[in-house]
Amino acid sequence: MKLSTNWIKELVPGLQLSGLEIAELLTNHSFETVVEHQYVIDPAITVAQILKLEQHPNADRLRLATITDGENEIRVVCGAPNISEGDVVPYSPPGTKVYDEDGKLFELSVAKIRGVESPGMLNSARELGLSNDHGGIFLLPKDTPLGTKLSEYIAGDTLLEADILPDRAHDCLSHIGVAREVAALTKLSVQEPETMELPEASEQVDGWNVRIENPASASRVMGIVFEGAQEGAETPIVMQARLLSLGARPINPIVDCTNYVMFEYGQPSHAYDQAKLQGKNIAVTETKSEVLFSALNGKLYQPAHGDLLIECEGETIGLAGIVGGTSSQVDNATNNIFLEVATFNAFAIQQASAHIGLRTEAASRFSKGISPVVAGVASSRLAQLIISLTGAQMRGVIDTNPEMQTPKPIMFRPARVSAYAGTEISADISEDILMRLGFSIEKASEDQWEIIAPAQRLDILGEHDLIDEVVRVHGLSVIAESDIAMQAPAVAVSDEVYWMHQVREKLVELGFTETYSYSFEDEVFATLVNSEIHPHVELLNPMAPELKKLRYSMLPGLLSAMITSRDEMHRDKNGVERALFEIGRVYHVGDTGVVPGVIERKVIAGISVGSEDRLQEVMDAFVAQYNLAPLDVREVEKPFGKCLQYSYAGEFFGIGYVFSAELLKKMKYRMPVVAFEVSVAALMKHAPDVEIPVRSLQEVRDNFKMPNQFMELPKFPSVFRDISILVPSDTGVDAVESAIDQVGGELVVDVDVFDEFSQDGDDTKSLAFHVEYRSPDRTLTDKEISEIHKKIEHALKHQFSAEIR
Amino acid sequence: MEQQLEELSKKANGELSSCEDAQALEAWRVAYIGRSGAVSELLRGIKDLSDEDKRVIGKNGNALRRELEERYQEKLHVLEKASSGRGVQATSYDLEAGVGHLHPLTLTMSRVHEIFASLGFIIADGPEVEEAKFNFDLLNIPAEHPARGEGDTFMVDPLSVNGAEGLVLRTQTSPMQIRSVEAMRLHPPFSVIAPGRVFRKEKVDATHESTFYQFEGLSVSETTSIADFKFIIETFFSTFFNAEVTIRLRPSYFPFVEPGFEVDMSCPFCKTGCKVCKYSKWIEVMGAGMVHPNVLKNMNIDPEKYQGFAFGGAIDRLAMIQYGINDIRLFWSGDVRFLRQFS
Repeated sequence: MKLSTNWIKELVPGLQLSGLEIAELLTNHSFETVVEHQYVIDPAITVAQILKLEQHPNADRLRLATITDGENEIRVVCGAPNISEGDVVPYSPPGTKVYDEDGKLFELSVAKIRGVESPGMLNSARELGLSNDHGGIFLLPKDTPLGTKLSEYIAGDTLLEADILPDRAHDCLSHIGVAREVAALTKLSVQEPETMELPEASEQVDGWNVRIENPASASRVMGIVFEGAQEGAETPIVMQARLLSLGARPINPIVDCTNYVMFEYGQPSHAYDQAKLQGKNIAVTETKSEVLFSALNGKLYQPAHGDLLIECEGETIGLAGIVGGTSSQVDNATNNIFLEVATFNAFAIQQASAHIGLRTEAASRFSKGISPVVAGVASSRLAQLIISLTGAQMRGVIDTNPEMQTPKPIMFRPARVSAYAGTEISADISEDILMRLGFSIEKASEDQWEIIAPAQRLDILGEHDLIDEVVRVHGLSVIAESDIAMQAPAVAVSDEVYWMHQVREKLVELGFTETYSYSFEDEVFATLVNSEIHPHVELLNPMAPELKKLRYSMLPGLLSAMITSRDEMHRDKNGVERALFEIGRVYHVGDTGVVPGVIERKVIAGISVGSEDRLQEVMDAFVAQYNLAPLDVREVEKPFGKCLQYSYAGEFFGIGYVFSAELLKKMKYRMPVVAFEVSVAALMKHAPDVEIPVRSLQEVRDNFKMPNQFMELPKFPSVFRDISILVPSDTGVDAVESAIDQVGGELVVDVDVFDEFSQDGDDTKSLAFHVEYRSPDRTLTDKEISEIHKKIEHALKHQFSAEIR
Repeated sequence: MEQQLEELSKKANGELSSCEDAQALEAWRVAYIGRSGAVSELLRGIKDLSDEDKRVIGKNGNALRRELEERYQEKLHVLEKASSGRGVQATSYDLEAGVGHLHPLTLTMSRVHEIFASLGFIIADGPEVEEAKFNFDLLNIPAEHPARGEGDTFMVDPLSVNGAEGLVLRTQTSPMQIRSVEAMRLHPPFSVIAPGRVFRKEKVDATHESTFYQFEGLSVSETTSIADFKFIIETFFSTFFNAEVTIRLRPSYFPFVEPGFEVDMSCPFCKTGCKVCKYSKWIEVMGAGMVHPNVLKNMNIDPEKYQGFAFGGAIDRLAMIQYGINDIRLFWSGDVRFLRQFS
């Protein structure tokens, strides 16, 4: 939520902190708050009036505005569509600093716009730094004295962005709520805004009445009837500036008041033009039939069955708590209004807002839940503002729930604060903090108090919430870490963690590299191994339609990885990884698991370039590691290859796969591939008893390994060329490799000798190298590569008397 | 040209038949069907022919290449079966096998296991597909809570699981708090850590993934306090990064703890600001708090007698900070050029 520092300081007189300091204070004790932006109004900007408007001779969409500051007349060029003769506007002479579209200040100079000189300009809200609104000139109230400085009315401000936590959204989505927090934290007091006492509520006012169809829809609905609002009333500059900087647009005084009080008290409200309503029977109802609602933002919305509506004589005049309609909109000609101030059911508004896909400032506040008490306070404020700004009179107040219940007292033991904190926080501190926050305290005894929370604090439900209040205001930083006395003795890792670690080490030793795959089964790879024939656990809302199944087997994921790594695996070079493994879960349908409906099974799976012998090597390793007797094997032919089903002690142990030539072709693999899946449960069932070592903290500390830093994967492709040379037999291979590296520079990424051959008695030998070329910032052209390759060959000829073959 | 093709075919097939071992086979491959092999060279020469010739020679040339490739594969299989099979050497390349590597998430998780075990935390594990009651209700997240309605929970289709309703892919490891106490019959005092895979349906980019790893910790006794939490977590991070780090707590909100906090760690890599900590000297690392009395009750632990802290951190985040990995999607890439870098 956006916060105005000026507004907070107005509400907390004596507050000396800057916007940044307030943000830090709130972050440390309430919720994360940052400075979003600042603006200043250049003192050179003056209040001027437009005397005459003429068409610009050379531009259709520009006009020439002759303005006066009370003494001098100046003519400027202006492109804004919203100005008329007589309007009072801000004028910036040359030399004034205003804001550009990136929020940076720039200095105005005398400009020639389409051939006409313009000494300065008239300003929009964006140029003043107030908001992103650049649709027109910021119009000032007509009674603003000409020639005065705009900065006299609008002070520079620091706007903060507060990430109000869900449990503080009841009371802190408002400047008053945040001001109360800041006051409590700085031991100052809040100066409440001016309000007007409301007359006693009645069931109906001049025939106006309110009916709530379903009592659960709204815990309180107030209706205030105003009449005689003067046309031509204008919203004061400061209010307009505040609304703009908080993201709202000034429209007319009545609407502006409802928005202003929403930002001030956190209570949304809506005004309806009486003249545009069909009658005086207002109701809060639930959508039953199809409703197509024309909202104030010009769009049409269709609420879902059960969503709350405001109706008048059966006509829908508002989507309750979200947005009002065009049909009953208040405008500059409105004299009489019906003001609705209500407390709607939070969940209902949350649902409705999601159904229609519209999230307004009002809806976001109602969705979090507001105390019905706030409607009453806000109404008093609204009455005061509307009457003083428009000269309207209040005819009366309707209130469906005037009797506010006091919240239940909560039992609180001050000693619990110290117990939770782990450090002594005295009862006096608790008392002081709670009182500053507006809690009332009754001490039944020294150790047991009864606390009543302020009405708007819907989040205070129990003792622990009070402990939170004390601890956070006192300061989480004040609590020092405890000493080692708390430390429990070291324990061993679990059996499974231990054994899986052993399995991983073994597989790594055998040349397998670990990969991780999603739990979602990619259909494309699943069909390659006939996975689709099995029943799968499915999602209602997957990332994409082809990812709606949870994996039945580990194979599809491993296949995918194998294909991703195909180029690497096919590299004609020693030491390149050609096998992958993964330890993860597969998801089967059934009721014998921990959660009814789904059986999760842990699997050790691997895939490797190689033949059946490779598979045997792996299974032998498992048998050896776990001290097992030989496994029983049964061969089965599948469409995608040969399957070896392993069992142990009569139970399922695992499966080996030897991929068919057809599958290899689909994978575009030029080498044979095998895979395996082994059941972790089966392994663990027969795991030998081992004493798992317990490590102390110091041992773990000593075990620290410096982490390898990640190197970005190449963005551009490599090209491989071979070099075959005949050199004297005593030539060092390393020396030749170095030479190639050196001549090639950064473009030679790897040199790999793949053949060295000499016959006894020869005084020469042949060497063959794969040279890998790659640039970090471009795809190398054949020409470039050939050039370097020639250079290298040349160098080898010279340095080593090499004969190029 | 046609004659050349025929001669080449005879020669290639003849030499292929006489290959006795993998090395010879490989030499044959390079000589004939490799990138600079005879067949490839010949096919490259086709561009200089007339259109008519191009068609015929092209067709026959490609047919030859296909035939040779198939025979090569067959020969490969035969040779491999016959060889004594020393793992990777049985490939078409007579190459030495290298050792493999562990995944950075595994390396990070192992370290998390090790450190917490040395601090007295038992390791627990639980289901990834969870019942709504464990993912929400028992964690003090009632039906009307905004977290419930959030579109970022993957929901299981009851029709696919014998009608079981309300199953979700867990969005956090917090359900393990309740499950571990139940399954392992834990009575205070105890400390338990439960790392695991979690799922969120959100837009995937360099810092957000649909699938990632969290670790959940829970420690309950008659006296476990915020001060104790600070000690444990400071010790954990200092050990993990092998640097003296301090932590600071800021008020935050999670339904299952009260008070709740965000935990920041002082940047282990710099003193004055760097890229890793975005020049703020602090890194946000986890959420935590004192276990909510309602949650303790749901664990059949008396909140009047016992209290404790709970915390949740992201393994992915720790791995990214530690290894300097800048894109979370790499963890799932299956790309060996990434996977080989860390161990």
